[in-house]
Amino acid sequence: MNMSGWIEIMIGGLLLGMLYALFGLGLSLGFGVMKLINLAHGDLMVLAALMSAVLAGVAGFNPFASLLVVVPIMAVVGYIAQRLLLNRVIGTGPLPPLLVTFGLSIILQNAMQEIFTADTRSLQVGAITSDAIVLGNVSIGTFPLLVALVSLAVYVLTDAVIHRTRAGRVLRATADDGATARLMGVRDRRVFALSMAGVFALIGVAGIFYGIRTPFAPSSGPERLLYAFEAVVIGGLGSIWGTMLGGIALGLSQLIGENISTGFGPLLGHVVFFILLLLKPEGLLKKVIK
Amino acid sequence: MKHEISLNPVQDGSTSRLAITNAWRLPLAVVAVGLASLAPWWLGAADLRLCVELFILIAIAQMWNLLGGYAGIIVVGPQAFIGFGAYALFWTSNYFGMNPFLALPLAGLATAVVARIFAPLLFRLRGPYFAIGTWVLAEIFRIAVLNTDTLGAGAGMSLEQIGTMERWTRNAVAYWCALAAAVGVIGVLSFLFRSHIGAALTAIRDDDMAAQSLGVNVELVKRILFISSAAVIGMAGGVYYINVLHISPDAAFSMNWTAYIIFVVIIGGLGTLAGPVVGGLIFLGMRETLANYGAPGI
Repeated sequence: MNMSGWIEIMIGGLLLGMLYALFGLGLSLGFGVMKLINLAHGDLMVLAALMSAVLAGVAGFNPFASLLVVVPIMAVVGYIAQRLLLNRVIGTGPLPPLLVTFGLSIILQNAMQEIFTADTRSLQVGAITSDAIVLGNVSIGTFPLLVALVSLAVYVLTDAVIHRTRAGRVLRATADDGATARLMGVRDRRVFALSMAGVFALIGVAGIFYGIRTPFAPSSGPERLLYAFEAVVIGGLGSIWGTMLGGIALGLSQLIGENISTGFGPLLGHVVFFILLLLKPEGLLKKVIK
Repeated sequence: MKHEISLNPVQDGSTSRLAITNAWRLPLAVVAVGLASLAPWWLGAADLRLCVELFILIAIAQMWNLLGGYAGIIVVGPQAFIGFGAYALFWTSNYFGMNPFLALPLAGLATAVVARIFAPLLFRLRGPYFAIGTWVLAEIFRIAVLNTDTLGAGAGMSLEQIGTMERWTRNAVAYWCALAAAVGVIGVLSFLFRSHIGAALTAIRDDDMAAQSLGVNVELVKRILFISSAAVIGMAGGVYYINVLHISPDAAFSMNWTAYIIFVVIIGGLGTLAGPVVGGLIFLGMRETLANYGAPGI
């Protein structure tokens, strides 16, 4: 392959990786704040994409406009899920949260399949998905670029909320030492519920952009969960910018793999995950949210 | 304190009643297994097949329970080993023209080797991360098989050598293998729990830090358990797919396996020897009675 072809793959991988970083951000925060890994993460992304598809079908919403409806709904769902369900399993060891969220994942998948059938669908936003910016011999997809910019913006915003606001300070305190934070008057259960609302909002954003980029079916959640998980682990647990780097590493591996042989992309992504685990077990960036 | 340690950690002083039941337990078990092994002569092919499924589910659930309920090793990708073992068996049997039942030990060995290779990597991950790591492993196997023509790619493989066996014999041997798997696993585990290793396991289950400080090599025990469970699960997967005669990557490496196994263990009782048996019966009982309402099969 020629030089500009490789440059295109690298840029494409970088942009895809920033979408994966968006997948991983919610997972990273959930673990950083509550030590909770949500196995339904990917299925919730599919749910958000399906909600957007329904809005497009019923009310003619453009998927971008549907963000304004879906993201708040997801946040409310997240708050309620944490209050009613997930708060009960926090701090009970690794097994109960895994079982509860795994059950949630299975129920969501089957319910979505029952309601929306197993069909693959996609979110239509018009010409932007096929547009490209051409620089010399290199062409860059406009939509992947837009997604990457959104991802970057979401990261900067999340980082600012965590590090520069009062709410972020409370969040960090609770994440560091829940018991002491409680002594200082922090209602940690409520902090968890609000964090989960934020996490679900992030899932909503990620889910809709993913739905625009790739066709999806009720069964495609687990694959997305694994990408999100790999981004988090490659980057280093509890570090949000690490998750960004992890996502990029994953996106690059997948696109390079895809160009070696069709169908090889996701495989190379998973293999690189294990190789990086061998070389840098603590992750690319090792830092807890502080 | 020897008996029942796995079933009921709280013991009262009166062990005499338990001792009597224990004395009867072995002869009773032998008679029950003896009767069960006669099933091919009095059950039809469909019922026999269902029994194979039950025994295999029990065997795999026991191993999952051993890892999750005792050693604190949570595996959400047991299908990695189910599928790997079954594929190893199908390939060996077809390639060397071998009787598939004779290839079973090889399937177990191959799965143990692959678990041994990935164990050091997976054990770098802790708790929930380890759990999802095993799932990634299953995905790697699934995609690799999907892209390998020798293994039939997406369409899967059929067991060519099975045609050399008569139908009744084939069904009966599959049934005996499954029965042996379930009974063997339960037998070994109940022996294990009464032994020195069982005490170490219970200690790890209750508090692995304390166990470590009392001289239990927690990491080593966990790895040995992980690798030997993988071997058993691989062989069980082999028997299951001999029974089905055809294997495809999306079914063999499906996360439905995880869902069913977790259901069986949790409904039956985590960290108990009887749990997976009860859970397996409830699971298949529910599936068979509710199948008309759209319950999925494996």
